[in-house]
Amino acid sequence: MRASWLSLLLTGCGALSSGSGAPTNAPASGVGPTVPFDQTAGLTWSAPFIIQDPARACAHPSVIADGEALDLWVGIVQGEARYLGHARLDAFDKGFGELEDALRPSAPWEQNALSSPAVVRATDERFLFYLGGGQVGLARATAGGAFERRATPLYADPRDPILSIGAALRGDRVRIVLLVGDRIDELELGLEEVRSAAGGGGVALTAHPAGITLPSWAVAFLDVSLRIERTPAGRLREDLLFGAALPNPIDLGVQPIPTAVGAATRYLPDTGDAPTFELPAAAILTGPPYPRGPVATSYRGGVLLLYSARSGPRDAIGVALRP
Amino acid sequence: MRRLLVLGALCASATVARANPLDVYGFGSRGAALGGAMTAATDDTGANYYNPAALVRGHDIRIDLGYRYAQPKLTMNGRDNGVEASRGTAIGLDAPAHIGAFRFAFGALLWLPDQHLTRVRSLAYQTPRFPLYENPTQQLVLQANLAIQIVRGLYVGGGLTYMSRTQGQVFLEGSVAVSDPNASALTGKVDVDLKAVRYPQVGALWEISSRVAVGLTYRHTFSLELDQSFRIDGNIGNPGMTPVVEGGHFIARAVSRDLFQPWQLQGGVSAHLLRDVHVSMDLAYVRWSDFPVPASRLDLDVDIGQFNSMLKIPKGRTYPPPGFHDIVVPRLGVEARVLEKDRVALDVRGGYVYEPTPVPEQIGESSFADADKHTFSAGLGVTLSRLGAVLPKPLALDVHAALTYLPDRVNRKVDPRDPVGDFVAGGLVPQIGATLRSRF
Repeated sequence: MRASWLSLLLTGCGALSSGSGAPTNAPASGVGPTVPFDQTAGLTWSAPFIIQDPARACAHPSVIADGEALDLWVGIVQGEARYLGHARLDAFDKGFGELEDALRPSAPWEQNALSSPAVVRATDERFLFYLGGGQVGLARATAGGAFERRATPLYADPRDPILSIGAALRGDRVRIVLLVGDRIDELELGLEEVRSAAGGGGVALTAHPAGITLPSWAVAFLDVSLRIERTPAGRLREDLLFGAALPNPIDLGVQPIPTAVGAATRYLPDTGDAPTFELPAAAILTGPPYPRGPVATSYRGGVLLLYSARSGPRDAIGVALRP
Repeated sequence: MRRLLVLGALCASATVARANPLDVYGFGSRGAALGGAMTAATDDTGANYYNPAALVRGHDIRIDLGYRYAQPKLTMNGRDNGVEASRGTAIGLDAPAHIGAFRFAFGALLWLPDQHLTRVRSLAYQTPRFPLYENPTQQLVLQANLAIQIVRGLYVGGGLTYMSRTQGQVFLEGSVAVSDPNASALTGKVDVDLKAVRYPQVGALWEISSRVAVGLTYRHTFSLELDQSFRIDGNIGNPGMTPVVEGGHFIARAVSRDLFQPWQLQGGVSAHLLRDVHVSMDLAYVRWSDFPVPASRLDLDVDIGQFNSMLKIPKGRTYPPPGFHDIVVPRLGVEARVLEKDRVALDVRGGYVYEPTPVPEQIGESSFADADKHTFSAGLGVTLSRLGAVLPKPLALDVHAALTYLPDRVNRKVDPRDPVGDFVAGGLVPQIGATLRSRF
């Protein structure tokens, strides 16, 4: 008798380990990037590194997804040159195209070094925010054309150099986060103001503290990016992603400082002030060597995370996907 | 040891769900076509489920045989959640008899799923799922009932539904080799019982006139426990050497409630409004507020001698009450005889059920997906008479199709860091079935 009962029990427990029993397609699109990522799950690309150049270091990606296509901008370090590059992926089962120049320094205030691209798309326009000489620059492109830059800086902090920038669209306004020294500030301006500013018009901007504190597991922010998505419930959620330096218990001055990628999040009203960011207890990406410069976007029903990490002697662009 | 811990953890995170497939999909094609509004309208073996008192309503022995298939298409954020189909065979018996003027009847019902005899799906508490469509539709159901006539036209009946719960233990005894696990010498013993669980149902039926009847049915609550424990007794060390730990043990016990049925009180009225049109209405009160926390209790006990102080066993988590609420479910069924000849008759049926969701909006750690349910059903019944000496009584073939529509329901999580996040749940549950009803 007990043997037959056992077979019944095993029938039940079989569902535990087979995987056939668990619900498939649990919701993910409402999650955001604050849950840890698996580096290679769900990817057919040469994960974790998708942009790798033997002669150039790539860092601080910015990405725009259009269906399965991805447009990727990165900061490039090649010898003494520091400029912005662009690569495109046309479909999920294809590889990224060649890394091409997107913007090279030309104005004196840029101090011959561009970095930290943050691209925002508004219909057929693209606005590229970037850093040059510790100040924020702005360029605009329409209908797939080349970026035309504003001649003067869009914004400069009165006290400290700006180290990193992220941007995202909230309706018809652009929200920008800035890593300034050891703090993160934010500012917001309307699309019309951005268009005017890209054409050289004057704009007065004031940044405020973004309402985020350093997580307990980190010792310093290294860079920032911003993502604003509408959840399946129809409300906006703002994700602030950052690279952070970790405590270094054995500092011999030889190895780079260990880093990790973190994220903070908050619900964002369609207009008006936002509450403070909520920080998860742990980093969301620690696997690859020295990860930083994260950026996330919705992709194929999940969340795509791009970051820079050490690959051999220099940084390359890595990728992780939560399907 | 690690594997056992993992297995223990898996078995320790069970879900609770609505308890049987009859509550979800009904019994028999006629009942399903009439939206389950059968408390006062049932007159076949479906009385075993809908109202046991009605078993004594007729004079013929009835044996019904049917098959039903349902394939939920339930989505979260537009993606199919993979809820499994429910299909199986339904067999019913209604055997009325009398001793003098005293009339009584015995009935039995068997629902036999053809995928799993019984299946329990255990999920982590936080895993999104449709709890009302998970485990309950994958269970064997056996009911036995007895009904008597009090006076002419007034009947009462009742019986038991049989389910089962599992209780299992795995014992391992011997020595555990630390340096070479393959050299461990452990003998195993497995002791598993499937314990019977019974819960009662009772009903009453009053035929007020030849055209109007009212009925009342009560189905009791019950929940099933999954009780599993693992125990290892032995020495820990290397073969041929003095054990590092002598007489150590590891015990893991997981107890979870894997199925739950709320008690239900269902009243119904059945009336022949016109000569060939029959209408039935039911109203059910379903006590969902007793829905227990869908998480299990895991107890761990480890004795590894002098190393005990190095071991810290975390306390089990407690979860907030799920906060389900009671619901009232109206049901409506209409049956019309559209054809009646000497040897053949044709009935057309339709039904509607509105079942509000008992599940509150999911704003916290759990992600129990559900929505209000609108079920539209339709069916046909062909009755053949005078089929010869073998089948002198009418033989009926019923077919039905039903569609349950769950409009999208939005769940907004309070914490933007929630690992599931906001989600929208809804979908469709189509079902079809056929039943052959015979009288003797």
